[in-house]
Amino acid sequence: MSKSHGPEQLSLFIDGMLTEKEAHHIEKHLEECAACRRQAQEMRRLRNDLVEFGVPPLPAYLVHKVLRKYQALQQQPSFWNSFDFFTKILRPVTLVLAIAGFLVLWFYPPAPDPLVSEAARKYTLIFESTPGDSILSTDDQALNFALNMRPATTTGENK
Amino acid sequence: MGMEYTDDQYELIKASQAGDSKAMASLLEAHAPSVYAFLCHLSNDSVLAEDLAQETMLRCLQSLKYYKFRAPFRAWLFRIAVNLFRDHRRRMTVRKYTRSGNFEDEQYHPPSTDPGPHLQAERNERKAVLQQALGELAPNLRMVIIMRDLQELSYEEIAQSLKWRMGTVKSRLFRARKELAEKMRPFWEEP
Repeated sequence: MSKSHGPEQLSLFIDGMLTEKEAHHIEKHLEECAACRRQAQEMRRLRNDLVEFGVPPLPAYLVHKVLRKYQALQQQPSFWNSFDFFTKILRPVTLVLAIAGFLVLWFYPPAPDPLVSEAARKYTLIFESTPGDSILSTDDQALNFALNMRPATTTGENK
Repeated sequence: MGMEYTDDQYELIKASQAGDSKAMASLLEAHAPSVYAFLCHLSNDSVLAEDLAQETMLRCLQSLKYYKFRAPFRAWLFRIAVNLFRDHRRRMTVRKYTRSGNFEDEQYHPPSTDPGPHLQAERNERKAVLQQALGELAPNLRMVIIMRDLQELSYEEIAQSLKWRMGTVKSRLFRARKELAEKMRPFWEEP
């Protein structure tokens, strides 16, 4: 093949895929080049042989077999459509999660705030040491006192 | 890309997409022979070709609703066939099957008309040699030459079926023809 034409040009020429101008160039080249002429002849012969190779007949039952199979598949419910998502999945899952949550809270209640626990302990101690005349008249005062180890409000009466 | 549809073809595909079983049957009857022939030549095994053709057509029907007329229908169909053939080859490679071993007995022998015993024998011999030479080509080269020379797909259809660029189709088709011609040359040159 001449340098101006790629080797594929010959194949395209055989298939009639070249423009008129390109085909004319190839024809001229083939007149001069015996090797390319031979290659072109071989490609044509090959194509003829392949065409002669024949088309194998399609088994007569194949199309009907495919259609039957397709119709059977269409009638078969798909995986996701085979069950009602809400009643068969979501409802039991919600129930199980609710029971599990209740049991977890029952057996592992949330730990109290350590600061509040300490205050409650101190408050109890103080309250028990001064029964009847506690200076701490409300829970808030008691809590403040316990936290700060002093009464929340100091009045003249307390001195 | 050249979208060459006649009104009838378009209507047939549209009706099949809508679920019309008669249209589906007509669509398959129109295209199944070329798919089967392509797979026969490609695999060199009529039993395998039948299985793959059946699977190709089934998948075609199942995914027809997704076909948007962007590529020619034949190219789309052949792409399914090519993918199935490639999957099959991959599985066979894993199982270490060899063509010469397991498939020999099931090879496809194309039917022919009877032009007389001598010519018939010569033709059969030529076909056998060509069949063997075709089988020896690399799968990509075999595909492209079968699509072009046996199934008469256009270059565009081949490019879309195999997901190759047009330049690749041209160069591989040339290589396939050149290699096949080289393999056939000794047979052609026999006196």
